[in-house]
Amino acid sequence: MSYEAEISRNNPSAFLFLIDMSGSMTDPYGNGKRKADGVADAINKLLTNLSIKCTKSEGVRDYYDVGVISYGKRVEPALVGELAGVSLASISSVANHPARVEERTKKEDDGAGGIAEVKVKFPIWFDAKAAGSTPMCEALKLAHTTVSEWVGRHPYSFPPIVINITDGEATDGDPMSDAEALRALSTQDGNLLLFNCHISGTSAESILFADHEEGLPDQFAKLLFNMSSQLPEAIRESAAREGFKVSEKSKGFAFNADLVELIRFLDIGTRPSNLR
Amino acid sequence: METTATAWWAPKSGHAANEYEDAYAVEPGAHRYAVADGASETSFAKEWAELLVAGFVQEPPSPAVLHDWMAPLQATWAAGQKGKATAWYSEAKARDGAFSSLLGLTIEGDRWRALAVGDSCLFVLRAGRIAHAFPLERAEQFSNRPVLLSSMSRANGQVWSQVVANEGELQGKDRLLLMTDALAQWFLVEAELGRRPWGALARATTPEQFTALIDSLRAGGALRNDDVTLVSVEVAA
Repeated sequence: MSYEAEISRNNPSAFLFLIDMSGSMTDPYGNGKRKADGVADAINKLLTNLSIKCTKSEGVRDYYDVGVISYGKRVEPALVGELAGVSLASISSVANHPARVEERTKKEDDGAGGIAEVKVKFPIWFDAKAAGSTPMCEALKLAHTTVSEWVGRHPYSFPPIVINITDGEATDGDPMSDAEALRALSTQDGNLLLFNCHISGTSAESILFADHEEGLPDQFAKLLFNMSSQLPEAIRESAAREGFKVSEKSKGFAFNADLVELIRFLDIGTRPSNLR
Repeated sequence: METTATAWWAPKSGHAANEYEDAYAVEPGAHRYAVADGASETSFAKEWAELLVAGFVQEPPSPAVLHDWMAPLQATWAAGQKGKATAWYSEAKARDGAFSSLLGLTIEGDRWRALAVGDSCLFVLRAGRIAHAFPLERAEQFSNRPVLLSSMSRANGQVWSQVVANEGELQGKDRLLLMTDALAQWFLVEAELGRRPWGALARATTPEQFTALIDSLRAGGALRNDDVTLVSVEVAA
């Protein structure tokens, strides 16, 4: 059976985010925000959540290695601050080295029927800086180089997950064969999982874990859908328990969906159902 | 009735003994026993699980008063966190609170009473079979998303409807086993296959033998890799 390896400090897994920072990402989407700012917020939130997920009483446990590659004017590792230039960093070094920590207010149920405003820290690792074209093929190739070295060192780990976030069309060729080459990388527990998130300016309904290409709004969405890995059974079951509609054909493809949702399904142990 | 009790535990494989996040408490004089399983995705869960079991054997609550019974334990947990969370991620984790299951057992005269939240289980063994399984009765009922008691009041809204209690008569030579989820799941699977898993548990009479049993069950894939706790209460003939 595949995709059953326990994620542990001895056998960590890896997340690599590929972020489209081409000029078109300055266009607004859904809520009027620039796409690039929306994606930067989501990446910072994802890294925050992942750090918190791995936090135990004594500190952050290294259950994951994490990297961010941006593609636009250049294709390069995109974390800023002390981790600048690092393609995959342990989650504890990510947690301990945000570029800066901002403070935001959050509304929270106070447990007595009211709402309390609490101040929370919002760490930043990644800033939006959109310019240039969309060299997605080159980004997938850099991901391949980065991850092939990693799988060599972690043969028994849960396979790495690569999440590509883009608003559409590659400008350096057809990314399908690079996506296939990336998905062909594997550990003994299964092939690398490639998920794609399509951020579109169209107001079409958001989709998470699509299971067919009919009804997807344009050819870019369809291409990204076809580049995506099918969801392994464990992630599918976990998503179904959370109330998402998934079928055996569901893929790791999201259209205008909340990126933070994608990561909630990756369990590293008992998670109370009353913890949100 | 006269009883004797033994407790056994083992941390998750690949983890150190100080990373074990279950807890148990045994108060043989008062015939009170409890196990709790601190959820691995929350931090300071071990401390919370320990407060729950210690609180139970000191003053066992009924389901109706569980809410108020927990309040001082939540305050103690919160006081224990003060000043510890300095990094941004520890602060965020502490705000989420710790979560734990709780299974408590009391014996009075010839009756047993149990209270449970979550998936730690009690098995009452009588004459070579399971006379009661509580709160879960079948192996398929285990999931990795149980509703658990939180150290933060605001997270307990959906807990109160899921507190369960049970009681029954006790007979001489009964054995009562309290277990956290991984071991309980194995136990039920084995029993459903018509085997007698209590035999293997009873044959482990030293901590080394218990650890060897757990290691071999894990190696064979029969036991999920998780912290394991067993409290065994034997009723005299």
